[in-house]
Amino acid sequence: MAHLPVTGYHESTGLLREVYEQMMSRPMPPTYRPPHDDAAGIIRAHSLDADLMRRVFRISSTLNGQGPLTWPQRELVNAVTSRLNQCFY
Amino acid sequence: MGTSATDRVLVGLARLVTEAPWTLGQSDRARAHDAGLDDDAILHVIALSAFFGYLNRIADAVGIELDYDVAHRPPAAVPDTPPLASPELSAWPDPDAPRLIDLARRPLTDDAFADCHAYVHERDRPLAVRQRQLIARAVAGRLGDAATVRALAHVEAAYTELDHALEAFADVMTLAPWRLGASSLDALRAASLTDDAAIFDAVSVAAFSTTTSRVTVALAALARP
Repeated sequence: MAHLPVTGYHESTGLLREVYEQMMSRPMPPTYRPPHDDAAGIIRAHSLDADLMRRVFRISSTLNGQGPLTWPQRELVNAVTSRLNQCFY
Repeated sequence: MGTSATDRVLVGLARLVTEAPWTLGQSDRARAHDAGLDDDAILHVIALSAFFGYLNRIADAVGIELDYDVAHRPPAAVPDTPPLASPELSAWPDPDAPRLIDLARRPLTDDAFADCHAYVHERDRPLAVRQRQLIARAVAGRLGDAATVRALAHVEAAYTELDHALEAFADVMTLAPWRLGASSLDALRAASLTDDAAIFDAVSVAAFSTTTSRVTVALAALARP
């Protein structure tokens, strides 16, 4: 159970729904494609602020799926970072 | 499969960005070059690691659950883990020294960060601009980000209970994200920040500030011999 309310795609309306649709229609890095039909948790975690969601994942799109680091190198950097921050996500 | 020299350098850079970006220096840049990583690659590591630290913190603060099928459940965070170190003033990199590598060499990322930064810091609700500034300054102070501390020097010091709670929350976010949990948010609620959107605002300002300060400090530090 999250510490803050989280609104998934199916319950979303208005701007949040628009942002979800924009995001889910883009090619998404494997990290963000969960095995269910809602947006990944880290995206849904931003559902209290759809404007922020859009801006944050714009940063993400300029860093992931782009070089010069290769996909395995990006995964390594992200995995090390998460482990040091003790975040399993 | 052995770890390549390049991978070791990537891991080393990610570790420094995550734990002590003020300790980077020209020798790290030289080491990266020797391992075949040019300045664009170094910048990519810095930005990626700093940004992933933002996602980690949002995930922890909001408390989202792992929603991927994984072969092994990852270990849980250990709240007793001591906080990350903060640099002594003498270790803060000079914000005015010319940079060897700047975010401007990666314009799409630079623009996206600037756009997000403006959104996070320039609105006046749910949190007031001053509250955002207090959070940003507290984070910057913990990471040795002299430019941000200087830019926010005019902001009056914390004086309300909520001001102090926001600064304390910024500290946990910056130096001990593994301690983020329901109780961290309850501390904000107890200081009268009861609206969920306002709490998420505090979370995102603090988390995003850790990322931008980390990038700023890393790039300033890299220029040092």
